Amino acid sequence: MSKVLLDVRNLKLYFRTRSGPVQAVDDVSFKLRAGHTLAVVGESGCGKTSLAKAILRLLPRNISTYSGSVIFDGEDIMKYDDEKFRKEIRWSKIAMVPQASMNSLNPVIRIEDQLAEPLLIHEKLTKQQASVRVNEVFKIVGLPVDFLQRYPFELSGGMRQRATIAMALASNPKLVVLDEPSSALDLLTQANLMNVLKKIKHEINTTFILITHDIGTASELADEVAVMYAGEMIEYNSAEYFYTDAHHPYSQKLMASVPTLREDKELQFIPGQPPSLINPPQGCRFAARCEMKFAKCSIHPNTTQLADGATVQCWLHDKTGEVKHA
Amino acid sequence: MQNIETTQGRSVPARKRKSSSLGRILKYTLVRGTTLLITVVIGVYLAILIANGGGYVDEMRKGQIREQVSLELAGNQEMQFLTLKERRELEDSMVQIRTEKLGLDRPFMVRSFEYLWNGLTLNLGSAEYLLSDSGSRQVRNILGERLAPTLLLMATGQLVLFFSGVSLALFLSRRYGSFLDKFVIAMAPTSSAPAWFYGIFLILIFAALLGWLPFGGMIDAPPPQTAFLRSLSILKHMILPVLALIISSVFSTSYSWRTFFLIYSSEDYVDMAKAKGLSDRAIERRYVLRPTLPTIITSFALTLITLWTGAIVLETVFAWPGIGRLTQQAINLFDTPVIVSTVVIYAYLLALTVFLLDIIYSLVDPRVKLGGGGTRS
Repeated sequence: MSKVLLDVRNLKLYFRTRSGPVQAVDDVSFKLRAGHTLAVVGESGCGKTSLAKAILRLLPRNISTYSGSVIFDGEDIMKYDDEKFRKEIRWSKIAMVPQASMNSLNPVIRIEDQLAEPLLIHEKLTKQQASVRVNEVFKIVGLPVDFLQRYPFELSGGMRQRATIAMALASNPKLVVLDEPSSALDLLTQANLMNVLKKIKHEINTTFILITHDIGTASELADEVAVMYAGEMIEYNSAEYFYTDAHHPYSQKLMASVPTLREDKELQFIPGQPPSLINPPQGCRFAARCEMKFAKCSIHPNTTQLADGATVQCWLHDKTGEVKHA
Repeated sequence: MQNIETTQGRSVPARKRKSSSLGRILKYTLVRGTTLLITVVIGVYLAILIANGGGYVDEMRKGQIREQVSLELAGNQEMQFLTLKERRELEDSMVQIRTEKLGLDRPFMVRSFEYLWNGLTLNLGSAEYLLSDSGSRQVRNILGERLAPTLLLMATGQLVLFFSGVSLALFLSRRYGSFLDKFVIAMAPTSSAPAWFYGIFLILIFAALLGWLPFGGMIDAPPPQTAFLRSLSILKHMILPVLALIISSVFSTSYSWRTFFLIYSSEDYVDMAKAKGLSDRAIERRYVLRPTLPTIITSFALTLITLWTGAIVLETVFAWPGIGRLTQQAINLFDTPVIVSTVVIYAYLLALTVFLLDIIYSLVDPRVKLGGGGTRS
């Protein structure tokens, strides 16, 4: 087993709003091993992107709580001050491909200059050295190198997305956070992008956190799967088991809603919506939509470590540690 | 779609792309220059048509000539020895001569284009009443003397306005919601009053009340001996008019530019720049200011048009010996050649300002596209 690269403990990120704090990330803990890919799945608005932003400390102004520890490569980077964090962590160790990454290139600067920028700042490379490196990563993501001289508007959406991925890889980061890299793209381009990511995963041994609501595509890359619901991480499981035998009732419902090629199954949906993150329910946050709800669900469930290494936040699994299918 | 995704074959050498971007700017400049020239020509021609009442002024002048001639003849004692027929013939021939002398016998439409050409080439002959400071009656000489002070005043004012506006706007966007920010927003409506309005107040305060700065004019009388002292004196005279220009525009421009900055700093690539670990200053310069600049330049061009329009009264208020003051003097004296030439000069100056901004725009924004073509691939 490779060593643990990222160890997140009790991470909290609350936003201040007029009607009270929004608990976007609430007490999330997980460990990620080097070289593994973690897929974070869940419905829209359940804190997936906020989790990514909390790890990279890309925070808006209206923060009310930001606490917990993020131990990266043995050091608690939450303790770093902003300047140290910027110089030592951002992009040199943790890079990111943001949501709608096709809009994440500056329209008035040539692509090469944008890709080389972090190399010049963090690694103090010369322009020539940076250019060589940028050419390499451009080939890795499968873009012709002469496109480096172009401006972003001269590229298609899919190409821009790949250029952003190239930008994230350029500085050899230990961890890359991909926040829905393929949303807003058509299916063909999405498949294309996933193939590029798979290739990268095999060629260079980088650790990825892949945030997506597309559980199907996530299965191709993920070693581990984390399910977020209403700001909490309700299940963390290895992909191997998760896709066949998820523990949390929400995860099971989620899997039942995904079409598969080999099986012939009737797709299900989950009625209702996730609760508001302002004053969420005291007990289990999924209880209102859960078919297996019982009296104890009005108390907040503990995080339980199961025998197969998974952790789950559900009373059904507490104490016994065994799966009780309804 | 697939074609674009796999474009291994289509490679354009880097050098060729760089030269094509120069070609793009040249082509853009040429097209914009021609467009602006056409605008100026149309504008001046319209001014000529209006000044001549669409040719009706000719009829009035012909009538004037006939009236003048008949009055002259009637007052002439010798006329009583001529027969009525002879007298009528004499009158007709005199009217004929004077009409031809003024060129009124040719159709107005033909002459209007001559006026246009003479106007555009500033070939306006001599003024009717005004003299240049060196004593010349040539309109061209009069204008030549007045052009430099106007350019000095307006260019200084516009440059100071632009840079102070941009830095104030950036500052406000950083401290969005602060007291200063709210103050600037509250002051923005004051920009509806023109520069000369504030000029009067500034003269009242700094010249009349405090006596720190001169009431107007461009240089002390008599002018100082050395060139250095002379420029210092000019600078001192420029403070109030430039200040008036800035006060009249800086609040509304920095209010709107601050809003542009705020909009552009919520773009995804700004977040990305932050994630890339760029310093705040680098983000502000390359990821907020640079992409916003085209928008700001467009808005600045509109501001400049209002500034130029206000220049006539501003120069008059500050007794600045520029074209604006000349215009005002010429209007008071009904000096038509000078009035027409100031109209032409203002058209040129305005077009030139817009043209310069257009070139800068094409330099800062690689996305500038021409007509239907464009460089999108």
